[in-house]
Amino acid sequence: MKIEKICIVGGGTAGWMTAAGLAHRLQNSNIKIDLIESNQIGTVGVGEATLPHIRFFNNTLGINEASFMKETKATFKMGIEFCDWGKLGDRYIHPFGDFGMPINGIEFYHYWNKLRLSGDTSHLGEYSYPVVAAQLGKFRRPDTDSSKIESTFGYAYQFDAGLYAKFLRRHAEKIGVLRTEGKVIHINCNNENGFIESVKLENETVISADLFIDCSGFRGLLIEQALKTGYDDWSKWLPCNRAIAVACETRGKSLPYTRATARKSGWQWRIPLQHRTGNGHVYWNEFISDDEAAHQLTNTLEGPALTEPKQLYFKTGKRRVMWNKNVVAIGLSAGFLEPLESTSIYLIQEGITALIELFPDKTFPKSDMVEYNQRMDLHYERVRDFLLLHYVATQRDDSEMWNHFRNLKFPESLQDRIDSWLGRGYIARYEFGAFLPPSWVAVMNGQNLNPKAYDLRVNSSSSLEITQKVKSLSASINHAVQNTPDHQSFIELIGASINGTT
Amino acid sequence: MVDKPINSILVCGHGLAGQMTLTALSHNLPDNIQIIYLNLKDTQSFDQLYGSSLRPTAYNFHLKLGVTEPNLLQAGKTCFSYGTGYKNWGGKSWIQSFHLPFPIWDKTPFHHYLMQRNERLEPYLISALAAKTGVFAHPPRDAKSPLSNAEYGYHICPDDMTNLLAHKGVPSNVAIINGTLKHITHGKGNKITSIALESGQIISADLYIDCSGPEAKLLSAVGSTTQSLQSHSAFMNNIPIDKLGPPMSIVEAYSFGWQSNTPLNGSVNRLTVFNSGSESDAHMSHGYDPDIHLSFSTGRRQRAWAENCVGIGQAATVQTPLTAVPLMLLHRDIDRLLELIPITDDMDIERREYNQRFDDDCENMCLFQDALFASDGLPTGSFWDEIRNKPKNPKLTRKLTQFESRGYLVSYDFEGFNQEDWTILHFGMGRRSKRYDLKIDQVDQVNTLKRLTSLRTACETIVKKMPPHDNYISNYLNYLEKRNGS
Repeated sequence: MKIEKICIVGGGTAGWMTAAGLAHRLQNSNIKIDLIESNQIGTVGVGEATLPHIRFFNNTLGINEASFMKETKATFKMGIEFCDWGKLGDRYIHPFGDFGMPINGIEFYHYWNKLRLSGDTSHLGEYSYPVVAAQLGKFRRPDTDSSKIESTFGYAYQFDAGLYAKFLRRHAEKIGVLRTEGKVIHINCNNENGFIESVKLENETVISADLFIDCSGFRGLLIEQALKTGYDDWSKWLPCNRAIAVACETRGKSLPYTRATARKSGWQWRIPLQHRTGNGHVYWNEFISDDEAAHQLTNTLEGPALTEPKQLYFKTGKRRVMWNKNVVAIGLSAGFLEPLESTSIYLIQEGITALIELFPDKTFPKSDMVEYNQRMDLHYERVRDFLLLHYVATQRDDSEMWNHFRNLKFPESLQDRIDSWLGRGYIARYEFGAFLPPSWVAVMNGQNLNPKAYDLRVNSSSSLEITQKVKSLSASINHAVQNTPDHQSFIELIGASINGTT
Repeated sequence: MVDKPINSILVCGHGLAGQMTLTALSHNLPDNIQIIYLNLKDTQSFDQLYGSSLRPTAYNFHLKLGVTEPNLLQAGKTCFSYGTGYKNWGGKSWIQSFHLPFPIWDKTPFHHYLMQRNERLEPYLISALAAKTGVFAHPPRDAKSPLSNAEYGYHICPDDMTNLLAHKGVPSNVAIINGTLKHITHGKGNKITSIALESGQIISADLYIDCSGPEAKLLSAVGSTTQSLQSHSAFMNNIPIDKLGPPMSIVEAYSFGWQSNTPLNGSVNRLTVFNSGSESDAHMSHGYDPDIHLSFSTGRRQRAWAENCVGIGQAATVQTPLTAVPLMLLHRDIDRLLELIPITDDMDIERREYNQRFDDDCENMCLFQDALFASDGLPTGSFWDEIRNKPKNPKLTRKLTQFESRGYLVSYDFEGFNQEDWTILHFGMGRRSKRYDLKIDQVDQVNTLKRLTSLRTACETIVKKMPPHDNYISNYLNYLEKRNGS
């Protein structure tokens, strides 16, 4: 009883990533994939910035990096710079990579903690190749020799999400996805089991399928409006509920990192692409009006605006179950965790991967659904805690929003994590999730949560030995960065520049 | 009140756990921390319950103790191991070999190809074939060779390991005292303030590490109670042999319990585990008057770290050595302790993290052991009925459900056993899934057959060229001897 027809409702990033991912996996399977997309309904274009996992997705589809970057006007991304989060004037980069390299099998940050507590004033970021390279606007691909400092990072992209969707659309259509233009006006469910049987479009076309993927965005046309699945509201932890986005001209060099600047009632993103810079202001409407938020955003653009400001409304959280009956919600219909750490596309990708691994048959075994939902819940919860860390690791007291976060009681799991770090520089680990210990270290250190003690094992090396190793590390990073090409030059070098001819 | 820095650690115990903990601490902590090893006398050793099988991950762990592979091989009866052969286990026999990784063809895990064709996994596992044939060779660096996927561990005698570590020499910050524990003195909040020995000597420290075995002399004194699961007995003998056996141990199920035979260099370690009511049957099957007869309860302490006392190894949990779980847990205990050596006498953070990780490690590693009992074909009898009546961990149910439904391998954080281990276990125990990956039907079947044949043939060809395990060991030891002598 194999699935014969899949219907994806909604285009945009989630819809076309899902279409391309499934079509690639199901090539030669005789499974028909329809995607319904309406030009009348705009797409949110979730996140223009990504995590390194996106490379795996693109590689799986056989996408050529240079062509993809050229078509999506992409730049490379080595991390995110956070400004004014701990306190006004602070800035740090959360890199996609490690700080230094282990010494005697012990992570470098333990040694740095000792130096810091001994009065050393250097910043942890100085010992991270991706941080130093990013700050100087340089980029190269990671070295494959794991003994080299240039191997200690990953990278992602900053791209035009709308163009990425178009790029994937071409790819998906080439391998058999059938796009239908239209707006869903009616959903037909089976009277007995409540499964969705078909959707009807404005032009009376009826599209039936065995499996429906809801990529309809916040409204959750199938998963919520039809199946009434319910939503776990996480506003008590992540209360920002609106965003306004606008693109502007880029001034200066295109940098290989995204910037997130904390504001009084939210935060502002800056994502440099090859042809423009994406900007947005995420905020909590309890403390700022839409007009004021827009005003703050447009006043701080680095160049003239290229688009009209686009307003978004959302509620952070996740769908109670992301797979319900014969509907799997992927993207914003599954949940929304604000784009502070560029996790939207990562969560789409996780949804697609899980669906491929747990692809059902027409009997829709409950075990497939349960497993999918458990797996996705874990990803969402772990991302949530990491995002929340940015808000609560603050000393800011210049606005009601920051006062709120400083007094917030947050999940015990996060509190324990912070206490362990502050108490002894220990990071509780997990294996499955987007953010591993170096990410937690980056944010906690970057936002002035610094341990009062360090791991005693580092005292097995003398202070002189540690100082020498740290100096040597710093020299090797500086040397490596000196030999790293300029970000823009590298884009041109690999034929990914929108101005290039190759 | 200012927290007092940790200046001294007392390791109280004996045998493998005690010596291993002492070595790990002295090798990894700075020399301004005073370490006292109270080597307990007159204490029954249960070290045989750690088993004789070490997984491949032991290699890196031993390096943290300053123990290299040559050190290990030259210590007593150590030999190589490709895994464990389970015989007549729920009506199935298979080799639970170490193998990493399986091929992934067309982005589809290897086992789905076999499920579609209803084939066995073993012919494609070079480590299993080599174990069965009794041959061994170190894996080459060339990743293209199928032999590079044959991971290996070791068979050791716990006493040999203990002696090896004991003879490593101790740094100046370590004091060793041989004695018998008489009394434990508690202070505020039930913390241990000192211990008194029969000799009248009083020892005090900031942190107390309990390596005293299942009795957990210190940990039980600070109120960490035992959560017992089953009571068992065990016979153990080291049976002398002229020729070293294959690089795998054999475990067989009987109505009274189970028996393992682990080849060592010069002997076979035979361990027979049973319930007290079946002693005569167990004895007959064991075939020897036991050198060691143990009675023990499996289970764990409610808290592995209570107050200022940490239980390591059997002081924290006792598991039967049906798999390498007991030694894996011992290694994890020591790793966890090293990462969380408290900085001051306020140990709240370390205690909380340690106990959380201990709970996770215990639960996750025991899933693998418990999965061995999830079979309808196992014998009846009190030993097996007791195990059968134990509630199944929902995490294991999830793993079994997913594999049986569609060959999907559920993984938890830092399990200890990898997906290859689980796949070999499922196939060995005869578990097959109702469905396999959709991609399998889309790939060219002729090509798949060619790939499978080629892999199988390559494994067979290489195994034929590999030297017998005993030859390899003796040549390797000769080489080491010459190298050390030159």
